[in-house]
Amino acid sequence: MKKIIAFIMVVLMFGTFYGCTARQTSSNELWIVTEATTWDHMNGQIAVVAEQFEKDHQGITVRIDILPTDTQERSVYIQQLRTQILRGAGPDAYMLPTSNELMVDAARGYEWFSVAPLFPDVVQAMDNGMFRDIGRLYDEDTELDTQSLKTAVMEAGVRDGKRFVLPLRYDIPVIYADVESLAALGMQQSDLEQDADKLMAQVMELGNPEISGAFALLSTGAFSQWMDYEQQQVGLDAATVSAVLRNYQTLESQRAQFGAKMNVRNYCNMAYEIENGLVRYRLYVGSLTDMVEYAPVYQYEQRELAVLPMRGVGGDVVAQVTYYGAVGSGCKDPELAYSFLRMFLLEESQWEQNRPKSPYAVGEKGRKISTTNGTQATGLIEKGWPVRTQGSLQPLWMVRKKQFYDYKIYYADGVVRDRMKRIGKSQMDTAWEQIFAAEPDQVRFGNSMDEKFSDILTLLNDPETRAPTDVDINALAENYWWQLRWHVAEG
Amino acid sequence: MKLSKRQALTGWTLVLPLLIGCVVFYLVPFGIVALFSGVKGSGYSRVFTGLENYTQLLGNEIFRMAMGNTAAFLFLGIAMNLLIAYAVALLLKKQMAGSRLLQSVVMLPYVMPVVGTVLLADIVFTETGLANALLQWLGMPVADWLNSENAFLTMLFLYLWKNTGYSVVLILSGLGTIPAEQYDAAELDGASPGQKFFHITAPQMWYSIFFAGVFSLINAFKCFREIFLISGSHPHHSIYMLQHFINNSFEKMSYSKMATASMILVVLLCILFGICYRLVLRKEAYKE
Repeated sequence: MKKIIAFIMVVLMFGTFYGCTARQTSSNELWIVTEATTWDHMNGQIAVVAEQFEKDHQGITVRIDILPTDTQERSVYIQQLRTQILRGAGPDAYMLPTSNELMVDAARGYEWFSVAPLFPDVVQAMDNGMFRDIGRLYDEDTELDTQSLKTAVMEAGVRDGKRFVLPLRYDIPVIYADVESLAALGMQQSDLEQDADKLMAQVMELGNPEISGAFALLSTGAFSQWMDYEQQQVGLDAATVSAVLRNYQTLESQRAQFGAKMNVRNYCNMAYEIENGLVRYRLYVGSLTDMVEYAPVYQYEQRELAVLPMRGVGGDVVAQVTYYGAVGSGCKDPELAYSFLRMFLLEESQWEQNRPKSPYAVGEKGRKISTTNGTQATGLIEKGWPVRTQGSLQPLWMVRKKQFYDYKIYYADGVVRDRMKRIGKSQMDTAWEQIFAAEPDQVRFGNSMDEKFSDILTLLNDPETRAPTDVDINALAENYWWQLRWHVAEG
Repeated sequence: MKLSKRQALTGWTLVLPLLIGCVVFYLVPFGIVALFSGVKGSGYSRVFTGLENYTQLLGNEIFRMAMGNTAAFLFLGIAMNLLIAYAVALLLKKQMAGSRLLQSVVMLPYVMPVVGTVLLADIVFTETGLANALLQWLGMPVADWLNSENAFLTMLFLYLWKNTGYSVVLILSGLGTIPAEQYDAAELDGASPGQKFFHITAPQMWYSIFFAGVFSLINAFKCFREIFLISGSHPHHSIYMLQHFINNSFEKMSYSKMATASMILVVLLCILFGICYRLVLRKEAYKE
């Protein structure tokens, strides 16, 4: 009897182990994991590309898993995914943003979600072997025309001589300035080439609220020496962080005197008809994508716009990869996975020629499902500019031109109303391509520490009045510095 | 007694499920962790790195800080735990011998759930807690007990509060095994209390102290739960322990770092355990 019981227990134990094994992908399935977007942003493009891929590769099914946005569901899913990766399985490929703020469809229009990313730091994910080396495949891909891709940005996907990641979008902090107004404000165009901390100090000294808002969208791009992954150390100290935070706090409080009710993030989508005429920031630090909005405004006004990349504290122009693709470490067929990912480096994808135009929703498996509530979201298909930078302005200008026609109008008295109004036509100027040709000195991947820095900035000033709060800036800086140290050391 | 083949087979069959369980849930995972410490990556990206992970980790300043904090916490905590427990046990030897109520009272902090300890810390050590209220009443400036250098002493206090009682009970058990006749004989020979302690009590208590020390060590590592619940995954750097480093490395999918740190910890503990055990064996050799 005892032997029989013992035998049954052993059988049950092995049965349990077998049942606990994770679901495996079949050999004719390509498993892609991506984040949620609106229907006509990256989810839509992936669906379009997947359809084309399946036509070109008969017998292969592309399975697209979109990471849940619900916190609890996401936590469970990511835990399961990481367990699979740990035991050598996992997705064949990833297509992920580096930001943890997602724009997804809502009942009317779209809304923003903050999520915990699957890979908090892409560089550490590369170093920890989360992706397969696709260097040989990329180097031998003569049809891809890699010469037209932004070399410095593409090199960010290479670690220790191995290519793990294909950057698909990138961005740099860009200074937009009204040249005539600069002189009136006591600044010269050459002042804009200073390091960020010196520029901030000069703007602060001028004390003009109209230019103090320049750094309203300050990010970690303001720090050139940030994290040294090789030495596992932080390149800046708490005092530097503290100084930048103090300058920002002062500039924000100065900005309060100017158009306090204006929404800076949406500024470039509007600029007009505020009672007394045009109202705008004469000095503004934005992104590459702002170029296609800023430039036509200035062209329409017949004013000269100066556009320069902003140098961080330490003097370097820092580019940030905002979207990337990678082949998973558990992928059995990296050639197949690469052949899927490379489609997003072609002109059709980079320059949004295959962007969905008819309203439809993207279902759970990443496929189109019919619906009538798809509102086309504004902006480019993803944050950042395409890495296929050479020749990119013309096709993307054609995409953005629509927005220039259909401007929304906000009123500066605090009451926000939108109306669509045709403003006028604009012509693309090839001189605007210069900023896209700018070569960054450093390229990094956005990571979770960027969001933490943004969270700190929100604590410095009152959200309504922009008055400085009494938060202990030194303690905040010290805390952030420690978080950077832990981030580098533990990952 | 020699077993017959049939008896042996029955025995092995009955033990087999447990043996398989131990192998599968202890030995195999240990082997996998040891393997992870010598490689980098997962799946088809896995590469053998040899001792590179170890040299990199030993050069990691945050890891060294965590090791230092853990070592300081262990040495101070265990030493103070044993000293206090020993002293309390000696004092209570006579009273507690027949009193189960006293034994229960001493054990109360140990059996309190972790959440209870966290709640206690919240009541006593937060900015508006009892500790600061007492300081204010005494006219002294308030202190930050959880997010400053004081956090180390706070956690040490919580560890001692929670675990000293258990050590007292273990040491008392050891004291109870020493024959009373030896003390009577010493008394007759005019020995002082100090002489009785050093010549009768101490030499016979090494195993009990070692046993209490091992449990103190185990409980010291368990203290991570309280620190984690009170201060999160990244507490003040003075109480950032090795377990935080290992836990956070796992969360960040740095499995080789996590495994390497674990193996270093195992090796150091084995060395420490070995040294202490040899010392105890030497001290107790007179019994043979």
